[in-house]
This record gives sequence, C-alpha cells and structure tokens, in this order.
Amino acid sequence: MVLQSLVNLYEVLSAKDKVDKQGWAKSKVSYGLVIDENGILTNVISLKTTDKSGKKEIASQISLPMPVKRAVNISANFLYDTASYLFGNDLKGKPERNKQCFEESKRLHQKLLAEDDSSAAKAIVLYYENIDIDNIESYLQEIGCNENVITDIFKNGANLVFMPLGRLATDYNDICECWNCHYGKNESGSEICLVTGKKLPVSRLHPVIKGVRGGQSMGTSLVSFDKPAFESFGKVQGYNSPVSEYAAFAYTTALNYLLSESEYVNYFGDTTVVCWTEDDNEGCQDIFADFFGSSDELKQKDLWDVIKKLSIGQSIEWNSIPINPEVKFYILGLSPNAARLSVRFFLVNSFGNFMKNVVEHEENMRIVIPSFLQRTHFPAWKVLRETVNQNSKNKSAKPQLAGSYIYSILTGYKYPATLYDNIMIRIKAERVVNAEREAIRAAVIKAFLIRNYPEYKEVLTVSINNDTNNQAYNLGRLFSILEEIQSMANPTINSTIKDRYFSSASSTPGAIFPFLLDLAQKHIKKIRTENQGFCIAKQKEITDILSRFDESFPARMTMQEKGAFQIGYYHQTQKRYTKKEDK
Amino acid sequence: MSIKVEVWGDYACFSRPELKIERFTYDCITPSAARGILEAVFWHPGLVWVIDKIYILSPIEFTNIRRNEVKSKLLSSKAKTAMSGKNIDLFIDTTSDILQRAATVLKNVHYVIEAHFDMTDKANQSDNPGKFQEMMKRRLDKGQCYHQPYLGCREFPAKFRRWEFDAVPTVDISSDLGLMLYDMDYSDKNNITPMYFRAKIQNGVLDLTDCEVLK
Repeated sequence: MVLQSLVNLYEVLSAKDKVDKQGWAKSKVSYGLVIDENGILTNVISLKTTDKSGKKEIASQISLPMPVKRAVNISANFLYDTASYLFGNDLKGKPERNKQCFEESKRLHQKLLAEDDSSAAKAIVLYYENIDIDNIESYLQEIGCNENVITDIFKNGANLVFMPLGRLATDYNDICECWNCHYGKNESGSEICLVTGKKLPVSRLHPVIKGVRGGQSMGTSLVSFDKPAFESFGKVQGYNSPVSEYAAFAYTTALNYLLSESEYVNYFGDTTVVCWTEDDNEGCQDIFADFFGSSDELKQKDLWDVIKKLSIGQSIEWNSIPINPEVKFYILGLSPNAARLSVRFFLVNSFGNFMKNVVEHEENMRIVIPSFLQRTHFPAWKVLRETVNQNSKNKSAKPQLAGSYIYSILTGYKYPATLYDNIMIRIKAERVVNAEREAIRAAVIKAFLIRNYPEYKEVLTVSINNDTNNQAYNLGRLFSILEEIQSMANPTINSTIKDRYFSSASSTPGAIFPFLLDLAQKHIKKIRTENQGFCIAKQKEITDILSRFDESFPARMTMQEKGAFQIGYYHQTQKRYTKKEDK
Repeated sequence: MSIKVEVWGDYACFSRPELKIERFTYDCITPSAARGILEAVFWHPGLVWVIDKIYILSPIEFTNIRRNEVKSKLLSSKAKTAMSGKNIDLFIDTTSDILQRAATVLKNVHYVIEAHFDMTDKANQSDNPGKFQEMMKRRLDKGQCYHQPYLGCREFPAKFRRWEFDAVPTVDISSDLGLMLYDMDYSDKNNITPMYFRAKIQNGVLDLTDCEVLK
C-alpha cells in the first residue's frame, strides 16, 4: 500500500509538473566548466546561490541526469561530477583511482554523445582529450580561478557541470535526448511488479531517500537487501521483491519531494512524518502541520474552528484552498535504522475522520485550568516534554513513545502505557512545577484513564466531579482539603503534608489517611476560634467525601487509581483557587 | 469439502516482500501464511491446500518492536570445507554479526480460514478425499500438529481450533489492500517466483475464490 500510494502521488505531481521525469533528478552543483568548441576549458564560473537567510552561499539545485548510486565503486555521472571524475585529479592522492574515474567518465561521455553531431556535444567529447590532468591546479589558476574556488572544488568535493559554449549542457535538447535514449535501455529481467501488477523490468537497486531525520546524510533506502540474511529463495538484491524500474523511480521521487517540503514535514521523536492527499491538496498538509507543529496563538483558534467543522463533515476553505473532508489522506511515519528506513506507521483515512480523531483526543485532554493560562490545547511536543527530566543531558522523549503517541492521536486507539508511566515517574520526582506543566500532566492522566480504562469515563470530568463514589478520586480531593486546612492553620510552615505525605497517601492510603484526618482535626481546633465559618465548611466537605467510603480506606492503590488520585487532588485545588479569584 | 479453522494469537507479522527487512506487515493474513498454518496441522504429499476465504474477527491494530538479529547466513560451502578437514570457524558469532531490525506487526489477531484441498498425483491408491477430511478433523479436534503453527514469523505462535458454525462474526471492515502476495510458485524449483492478487476486504471477508492471480 505504501509504495502504491506513493506511485499514485507521483503521477498526480508529475501531471502538475512538480517533479522530474524519469531519468532526471535535482542535484546540487556549485561550478560550471565553460568549454569552447575545441574542448578547451576556458573558465570556471560559480553557480552558487544564497540560501534563505541570505547570508550563506550554497550550491544550486538543477535538474540533471539521475545520479548513479555509488559508494566505493567507480561509476560516472553524465554531464556533471566531482573533481576526481572530470579533472582526473582531486589533489588528495590516490592517482591510480582518480585516473580510473577519469577514464570512466570519458568513456561514458564518448559513448552517449557518439551519435550527436552538435558543436556542444563535440566540445564535451573533445574536452576529455584536451584536459591536462597532471597540471590541473596551475591550469585553473591560469584561467583565473581564485584560491577559494580551487579549495572548494578539490577539498570539498563540489559538483561541477559542463557548460559547453557558455550554456548549461542540459539546455541543449539533443544532449538531453542522448541521455533519455540511454536511460530507457536496461538489461534487467522482467517480472511481475508488485506495485503495478504488470510484467516490467525489475529495479535491482532503488534510488535513495533523503531528508529523514537521523538517517545517513548520503540517503537511506526504504527497500534494500544488502546483507545475506535478507535474501530468500536464492534471489539477490532487488529481485527479492520485484519492483519495476518505473515504480521504484516514481515512489522514491514522490517521497523525496514530500520530504523536501520542510513546512509539511513533522518530527516526533525519531519518526519523520509526511502526509499527503490523493490529489495533492496543500491545504490539508497545512492544517496538519499547523496542528502538530506551530504554537501560534491566533492561528490556533481559527485552526480549531476549521478542524471542528471538518470533523463533522463540513467542507471548508483554508487560506482560500477548498478542502473536502471526504478526500483520502495518507500519513506515513518513517524512522531511520542505519542506512535503512523503517515504516513506523502508515495511515489511510478520509481527512474528516482524522480530524474527528484529533477532536476526540482534544476532548479527552480537556481539563479545567487556571484562568491566567490562555489556551487548553497542549501541542504534542509539550506533552512529550513532560515525560522527560529537564535536568538530564538528553532532553528528548523516548523515540518509540513519540511515534506511538502520535499514532494513538490519529487513529483513536489506546494511548501508549509508557506515556502514563513516564508522567507518573516525573510527578513523583518533581512535585512542584508551574501551573501550565501541572495542567498538562493532569490533562494527560485524565485522557489516558478515560480512553484506556472505560470505567473512569464517568468519573473524570473536565472540572471537579462532586457526585462520584470512585474511591481514588475522592481520596485525592480529600487530600487537597486537608492541605488547605493545614495551610490555614500554619501559614508559615515550610514543608506541608503535600511534601511529606503525597506519595505515600497515593500508594497506601489505608495507612496514611487516618493519621492525616487526625492531624486535620488538630488544625481545625487551632483555627476554630478565629474563623468558624471556614471550619464548618471544611468539616462539611470532609464528611461528604468520607460518607462515600464503605468501611475503610483501600490498603493499596493501583497505578490507574494513583492517577485518579492525582486528578482528584488537581480538581479540588483548582476549585480552591477559582473561588479565590472570583472573590 | 471445505473446512473452517479458527486461528488467533497475540502478535502476527505477514511481512510485505518489499518491506521485508524493516518488517511491515500486511493488514491481514496472506493466503500463503494461511496455507502454512493448515500444513502445520495436517500435510500429505497427496494433497495441496487451497484457501477459499479469510474471515477477520478482530480489529486491525499495529504495534512496533525492534529486535536484534544476525546479518549473515550459514553457508553450506563452509560446512563442506570444514568436512574436508580445513580448520575454519563454522559458526556465526552473534556479537559481531549483530543487526537491529525494526518491525511493525499486528496485535491481537483473530481469523477464520476457510479452505479445501485438492488431490495431487502423489496420492497413494488407498488415499481418498474423505480419508483426508477425517484425518484433518481429528487432528484439529485433538490439537495435533507437526510443528507449532505460526502467524507469519515463527516468533508469533498461533492457536488453532476447528470452527464448527456456519456463520462467522466478522468485523465491519471494507478496504482495498492493493496487490498482496498470493503465494510462491514452486513449479520451477530453480526459479521460485512470487504470485500476486488484488486483495479486497468486504465486510471483514477476504474472498479468494476465483481471484485473479498475477504471475
């Protein structure tokens, strides 16, 4: 399905002329070698452009013949290459190898341009006869290259492209045709292609995918069989899973295109996530990226309205692009493993359905927050940050967790258990945190318990639930009330019951709460004379909660009950502060 | 005479051929994996199993795991060299040969496989379809098998049982899975090639009767 959907996308993109035709790919080149009609190198001009910030000079991306896949083997590119291949000398030593590279490049160009009579083609062929390999550095200085250019070419391995008679080699149609004819021929056997279903020549090696974060910079492969353990039935390399040359080219080009659009690529842990619609609708990609990526306040409100409308099946316009919720939306999560890519997840559904799952996730996460916090939507990166110790060296969330979390948001499946476990660990380790972080933690616990343990659905509401008989929740509320009484009785105390007893109260309430209730009575006695109204109100609250218990407090609480305890505590504390603000 | 076998397990991995290294599973059991399960229960040179229908009884859920595996194979040429007396290392040293592979597998799978068998020309005089049918039923009821049936990979064992009822409560899934591996073509032992078919799940049933097989 993955490859098939990417091939379909390629066809849509190709029709819109957004991607290269088969046999061509955008490659980086830094310098052009200007050759006159006799094949003499007359000049080396820079083809660099400035990058987005306008400060650095980077190589331009030009549509050039498809680069060969090479690691340590010698294989020449057509019309452009590095110094070893075009100059026969890279000033780094190894003259034997460089000579071989040069000969290979010469052979390739002579072979491909043999039929072409134009002066440009002839110029290129003559170039190989005329260039002086051994004295290349002095020659370059003679024709006017400055030191920086020479360093760049030889030290940094910059790509050089032929510019016969002053124009790019690719500007000449006849030269391009030579390449297309050559590329069409292939010697591999034909088998049923598992993507298209037709009998076509099989691709032995698939082109690389560039742009997956954490993968090799040279590029990673989605489909590769390089070790003996991967081969079956005696087949080698690409024949282990026959994919035709066309399909291999199409899916890698489409995937590289998606990964190159940096605004629409999202990163969660080690997973790189790309998304697309069947008809390449950029509005959907935009909404997806905005929801998971940006934290722009104003945009969030509009975004949220749009998402809600899509989730109930309404068509909308986003940045004046019409979006139909029925359109098929694909989400692909890739994670690197050395030189290979692993498909972490591949989701296919209508865009509206994805939005419905997103809305459901937000509903699960919704919890009462202090009024000075502006918004209730907690982006994924903030949530994942709460699972890590911010003082540790490696501040990123467990890679597996990030991918699973996003997967559960998009599909509506259960949240990963590690999300909950890590949040609970962090709560135990860092008791006091700022209001926003506390809210995030509470929201995650609530969402996890509601979705994964349906018995909590009724218990855990957005704000305080006064009517439930759930013991863990009520114990949390009780703890908060007892803390309030203590702080009223001893305003200047340094370590409250929260500091000393919170963990043990949530793990073994049966042992702790009788003691705490005793303590509360002593506090109440202390403040009875000054503030009788407060005492009566608190006594009432305590009695109300205690009446919901049968005989005794539970001896121990499970992890889920601890979570409910946390929520109860949080809700009661929020209620306390809201009242104060109302006053 | 067809038979229905209920199969279930905690994990399953029916790897796609193209994503076989960092395994990514098909959405449901492939006909060749189903055949493998049936052959684990009962196989005879005189019969060949043909899968008719696959019923999906549990929702399709994925999960990710990473496993450490080795990257080379034990070569028979090495064994022969060792036999001829040369002193070479005839083992795979896992610590130096280690390789981590990720896998996206299915969770909590539950299928009913409906299949029938055809007789081959290797059947004896005394073999007949009725005899084989009875043998299969007996083995299913006793839980007998030649080796533990597995769901795609040997690490994921399958539990099996005969399905006695006519109706099968499938989940309500309908989707087009594109090209799926049907089976391998073993007619030419020296060149075993894969065969594909267009898989369409209708109301939780993958219908393989009279499907077009591309080879």
